[in-house]
Amino acid sequence: MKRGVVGVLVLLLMAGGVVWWLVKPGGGDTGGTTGGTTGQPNPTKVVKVTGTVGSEKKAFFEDPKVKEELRRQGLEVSAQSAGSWQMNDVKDDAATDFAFPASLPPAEAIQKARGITATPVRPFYSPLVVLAYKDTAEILRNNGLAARTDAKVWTLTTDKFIGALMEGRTWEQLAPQNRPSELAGKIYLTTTDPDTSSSGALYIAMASYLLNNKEAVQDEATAKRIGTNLHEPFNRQGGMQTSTDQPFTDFTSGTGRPLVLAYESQVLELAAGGNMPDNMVLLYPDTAVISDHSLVAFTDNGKKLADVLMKDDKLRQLAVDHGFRPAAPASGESPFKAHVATLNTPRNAFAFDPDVSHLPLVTLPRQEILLSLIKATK
Amino acid sequence: MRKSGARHLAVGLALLAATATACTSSPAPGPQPSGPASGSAQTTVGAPPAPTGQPGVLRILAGSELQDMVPVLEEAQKATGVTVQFSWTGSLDGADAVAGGNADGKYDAIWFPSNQYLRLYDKSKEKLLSETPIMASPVAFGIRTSVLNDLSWGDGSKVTWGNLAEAASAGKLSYGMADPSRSNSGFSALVAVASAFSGAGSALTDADVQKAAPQLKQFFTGQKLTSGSSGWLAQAYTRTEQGSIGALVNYESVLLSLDKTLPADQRLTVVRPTDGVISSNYPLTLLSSTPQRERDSFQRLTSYLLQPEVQKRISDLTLRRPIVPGVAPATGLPTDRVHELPFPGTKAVADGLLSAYQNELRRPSRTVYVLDTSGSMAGQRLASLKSAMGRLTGSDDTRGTRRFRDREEVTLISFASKVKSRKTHSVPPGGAAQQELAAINGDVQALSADGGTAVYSSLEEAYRVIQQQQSATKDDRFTSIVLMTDGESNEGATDQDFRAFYGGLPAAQKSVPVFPILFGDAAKGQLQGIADLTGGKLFDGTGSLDGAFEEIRGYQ
Repeated sequence: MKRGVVGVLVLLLMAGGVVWWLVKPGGGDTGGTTGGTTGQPNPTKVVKVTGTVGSEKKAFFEDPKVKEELRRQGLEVSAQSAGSWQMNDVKDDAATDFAFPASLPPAEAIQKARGITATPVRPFYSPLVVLAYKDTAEILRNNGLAARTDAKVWTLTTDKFIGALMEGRTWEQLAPQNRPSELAGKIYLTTTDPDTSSSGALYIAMASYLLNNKEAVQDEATAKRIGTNLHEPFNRQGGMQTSTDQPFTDFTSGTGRPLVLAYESQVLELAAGGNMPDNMVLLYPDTAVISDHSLVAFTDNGKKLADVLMKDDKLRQLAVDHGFRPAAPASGESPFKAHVATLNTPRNAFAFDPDVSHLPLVTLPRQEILLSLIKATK
Repeated sequence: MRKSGARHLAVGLALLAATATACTSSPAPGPQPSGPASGSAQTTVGAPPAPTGQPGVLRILAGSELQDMVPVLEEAQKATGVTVQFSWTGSLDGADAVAGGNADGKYDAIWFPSNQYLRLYDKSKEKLLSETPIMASPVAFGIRTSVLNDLSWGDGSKVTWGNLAEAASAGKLSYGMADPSRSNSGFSALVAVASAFSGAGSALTDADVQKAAPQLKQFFTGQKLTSGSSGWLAQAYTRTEQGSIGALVNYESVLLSLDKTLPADQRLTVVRPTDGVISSNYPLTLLSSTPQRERDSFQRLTSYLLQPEVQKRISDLTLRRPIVPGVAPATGLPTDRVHELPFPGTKAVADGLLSAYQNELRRPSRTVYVLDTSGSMAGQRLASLKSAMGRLTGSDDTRGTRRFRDREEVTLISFASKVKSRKTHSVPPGGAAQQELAAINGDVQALSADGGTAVYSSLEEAYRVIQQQQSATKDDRFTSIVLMTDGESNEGATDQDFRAFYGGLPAAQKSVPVFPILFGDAAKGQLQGIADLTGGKLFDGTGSLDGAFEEIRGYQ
């Protein structure tokens, strides 16, 4: 990635028919300190933009490179992490400009609560994945619950897995001998609390889709029936945490559970930093759930942030560096694909399908139905 | 927040330094409660923190376990300009305060080993905005290495909860564990052992707790020490004669830190039972009531704490595991994988487990209250005493933090110039408990004040009562004495007399600690001397007598 371009450089970009001005920070005669407000299109106009973001995007917004690029666009962003479904509970002290939950349903709930009708902006997305140690994944594979492609990508065989989950299969049954000691009892997936966090809610959406003959649940009666059936398998995990970085860091710090639901971006971010443990794998569900990170703007400054995230090439590249898949790739090769190619190892490959287009996707239920499903499940 | 049990320690930067010194100079390196007995000048019971935040100040309600982070926060202050002002309290009391709305506007953030209990409150979802795990440590068993050898458990890497229960019921393993109704370490251990014994393989239900009860009772026969704070447990461990307490339940980090300070014959081996543990991830948590300025401070602080070099520093200093991938844990921290058990998913199950622990599973208590009803107690002081004791007989106590427990034997000794009255109550299990609790309250409300103050003679009487009770019943109980006085001992036996008396007691009574409560014009030196002599702990009731009486329940 090219950074630190010296001299004033004006780039003219065409993005979605909009002319976009981007000014590289100054050296030379403009004489300001780097990282400050000099070299801005209008240096006196750096506005502070505050909002809430899902915890999986915290590292992105705290990255000095992201802050620098946003500043160059006249924005100083203060992003507080919160569970996606908690963002509506945040006391509005008139200081928030936007909310940036991890998927569309909580974004719609926020819009509804605030009477906003504009479509949320979705600058990037991620599939949900399952974290496991390699020997755990092998046990799943030996039982037909997981597979590995020729390209060394692990997949979760969702039909079989959900079947085993509903039956209450145990690790002892799956691997009577030579079982890592942390595998005991009935299998379950560790998720976040669907009342507060998008990923937990998307897991329920996914399970209900699979249990409803691969159709989104449409009506309250079905939601209630499927949620009730899911109650025991889902609640085997007991108390849940509120945002997705928590079970993720539990796993990576060695105090986690065997199977953890996470965003692909979290793992890619880990790998890009060279910090992915050798014995850790991610499994892509073979019926994929996509998390569309959806920004709801409350103010003009919030809208401006949404705009730059959608259209600024540098921010899009930085989002890719943090493991996200940018929406609506510009013409040519996806920067995401190139990025992932640098991370794949002979032992472990990412990004089963960088464009997702070939994967069967879970269709999400309507927001009200999803809430009913969550209620019946919990 | 509730007055009870909360200890506020406001620290500016200068005070941060003072606290850090206090921590490092004390015998136990782990969490040191900065309670009244620690002599810390900044500590007051029940005093409110600053009513509003100041720029760059983050007011954090925190678990006392976090006191070992003070040096890191001093460094954070230099790097980020954010000064942390701590108020210390127990994890579960803190959860009550936050869920009850009593933290709103008083604190900007909370920091406990775990938010798992707090999350079981429906209200918590609107109270907590952002939770960022900072470090991790499982709750483990620290077993005296000689005991481990006697049990032929090798390096301890294959020990199960079942092994521990068998050793406990065979009288081969005695241990100290913090009160699970107050402390997250005790609660995590209780959940882990109940999960292991239920064989459920998933989150506990009420039925699982029932099923596990017989084995849990076995396990808890080995619990010889209980406490409201882990610091006192560590002191009690080092105090007791060789072998009488063979193990401690605490965070791996606390056990490893403690071990570094112990003489060779007291060294511990940290055992994480192979059938499962519960770990804490110390989430620094922003309250949703916090205004934007403090939210920014919070963010600066959390980003700082997650920097790889800071994570390394935290791990080296506290022996907790770093949470940021790629950061090497401190030397000596194990890296093998252990089964991480689920935490209960509902408050009903969690409280049911705690209630079962207090009223059925643990060894019952023998509790003697030595209560000053001299003339100086007349009026408001006596009213405060009646209120504080009366609260221990109420039924509004879902997880058993306060009330006299089923099977508890409670003796009330009221004294002035001499012992005035002596009454013993046994709280029966089940539905009949209420009636006996009411009878205790009746005795408390009938107390009247007149006469002088014979502290030492009355304490001697308490020990004689215990001796009689022990020889009459031959039972096995947590036994302790609470001494509440508002003045100096001016009649009867002297300090010297009492020392001689105590020195001549047989082991069964000598091991009974006295927990004195400082109140009114009591002589702090006398009371501290009694606590030190008997292995007890001094509590300050000058701010809130209710709070002191309730806090002591964790030690009974």
